[in-house]
Amino acid sequence: MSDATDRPGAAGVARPDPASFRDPGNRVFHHDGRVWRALGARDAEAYRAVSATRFWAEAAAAGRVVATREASGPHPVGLPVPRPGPGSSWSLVLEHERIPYLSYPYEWSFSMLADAATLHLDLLLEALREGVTTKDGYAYNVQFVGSRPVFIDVGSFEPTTGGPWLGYRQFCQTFLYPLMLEAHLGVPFQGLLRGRLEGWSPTEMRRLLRGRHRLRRGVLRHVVLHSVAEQRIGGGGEALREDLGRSGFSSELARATVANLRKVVGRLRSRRADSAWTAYRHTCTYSGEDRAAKETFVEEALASRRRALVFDLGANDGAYARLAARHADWVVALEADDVTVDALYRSLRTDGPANILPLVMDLTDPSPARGWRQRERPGFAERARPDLVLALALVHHLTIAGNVPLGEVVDWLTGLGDELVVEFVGPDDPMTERLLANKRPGQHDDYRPEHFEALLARAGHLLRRKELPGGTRTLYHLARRDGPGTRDG
Amino acid sequence: MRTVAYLDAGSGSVIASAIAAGFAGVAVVVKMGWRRTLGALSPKRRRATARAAEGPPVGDGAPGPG
Repeated sequence: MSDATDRPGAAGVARPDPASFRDPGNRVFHHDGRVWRALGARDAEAYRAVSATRFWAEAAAAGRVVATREASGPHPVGLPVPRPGPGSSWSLVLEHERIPYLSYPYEWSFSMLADAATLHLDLLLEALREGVTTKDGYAYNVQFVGSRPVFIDVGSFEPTTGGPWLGYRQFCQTFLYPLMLEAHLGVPFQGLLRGRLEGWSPTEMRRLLRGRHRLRRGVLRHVVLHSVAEQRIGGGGEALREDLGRSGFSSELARATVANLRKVVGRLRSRRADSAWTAYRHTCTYSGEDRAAKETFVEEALASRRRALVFDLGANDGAYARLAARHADWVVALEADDVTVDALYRSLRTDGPANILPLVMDLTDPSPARGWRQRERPGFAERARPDLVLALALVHHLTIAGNVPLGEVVDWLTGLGDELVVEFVGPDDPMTERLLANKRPGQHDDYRPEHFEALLARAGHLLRRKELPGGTRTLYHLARRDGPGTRDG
Repeated sequence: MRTVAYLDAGSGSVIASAIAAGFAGVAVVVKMGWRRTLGALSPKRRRATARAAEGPPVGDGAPGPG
């Protein structure tokens, strides 16, 4: 596995994380595959105060905040760590556990976003009890390690000085409103959140939630009142916040706001419980014999050696991702249907395995690079290179349903990782026939096994091939010509 | 330690956040509003505002160039 965040900056210098620049008090760097956070004097003082609290010790022990240790000295990697601004240097450097695969809220299912929001609020509730708050309430403060949400923005915690929670609006915009959109209106939030990293303003949400929706849980308080206050009261919030603090707005009252948000989030439920894909395993046309032969082939490919990262493209209910999880450190299970991803996530959360990260991803329109200079949130394929890619019962969907030329599909799949296990569902298979039924005759004449094999032969080194007993489906295990799979295949 | 925010929460959201705390939060918002009103009406405050509008005082002990 190689990581986009490891690309070197200037020779020998730790590279600033492209998403870590908004808070000038601390900054994340990458060097040699390790993750460092450098803190200025004020943030270092805040970190030392926060890390001495009981809440912090318990959250760290439970793995709810990213594993963090103090490095010795301000330049632990023995290299000059750059800091913008003249005459200043970092006071403290922390090392964080590396997140196996970065994912973003617009790739999470409803339950994943709800769990991330709950983690954020629970940590804040515990922190406020000990006089600690967070500077913001951003959904990007949380990452998933497998199916477990983890708070990563350690620099966000600081001792509180009273007054309302500063992160309230950001929390509403990036956590609460996307959840409400799905819970109250039945609209999936992912595509909308991808288009707007900062979410929607209270006034925009108020325009969406009209009529009887205003009576739904949390809408009056966190959308309507919020919007009215925003429209009527202008100006910067910091002076007002301090004034409220002087007027007696204590940490206890800030806790009451957060506790109310926690209650609202805890009671939101997705209105979309079913889709065509959630029952796919029961409606698809595999015979028991085909399924057993396919599992054996895939398991043998996976078991040939342990991999650090495996992608399962079009993962559906995650059956093959679970198989991969036995032979890989981490598996990313990608599926376009968010309802199916949600069911998979809930199942993983309850029964494991813990090393599978399910994500909502339309492979014909995967996540692009987003944010400042298009570097803040890297695109799907830029974040990490998997050691092995599973593309089972996927090619016919991309080619026939998605109208992506077969050559393009093969080129993309073989370029994504070091090895590929791919299934070709022939034109005479009932599932392919179903997709072809609504297409113009002759439109997909090149969708033939011999053409597919010729494309594979040009793209890589074929390790194994197996036709399933039913006679309409074939599996291939392919390695990049210079890839690691060619040595042990 | 004084909190120095890098994020401007916005006045409207700060008030909304306070109100979201429930009755006690609303009471503090009302109390602050009352204090601000009284402060704006007090003669001492009005004199300070007028002085500020006229410009900075001369010879106030602030360090000078020489």
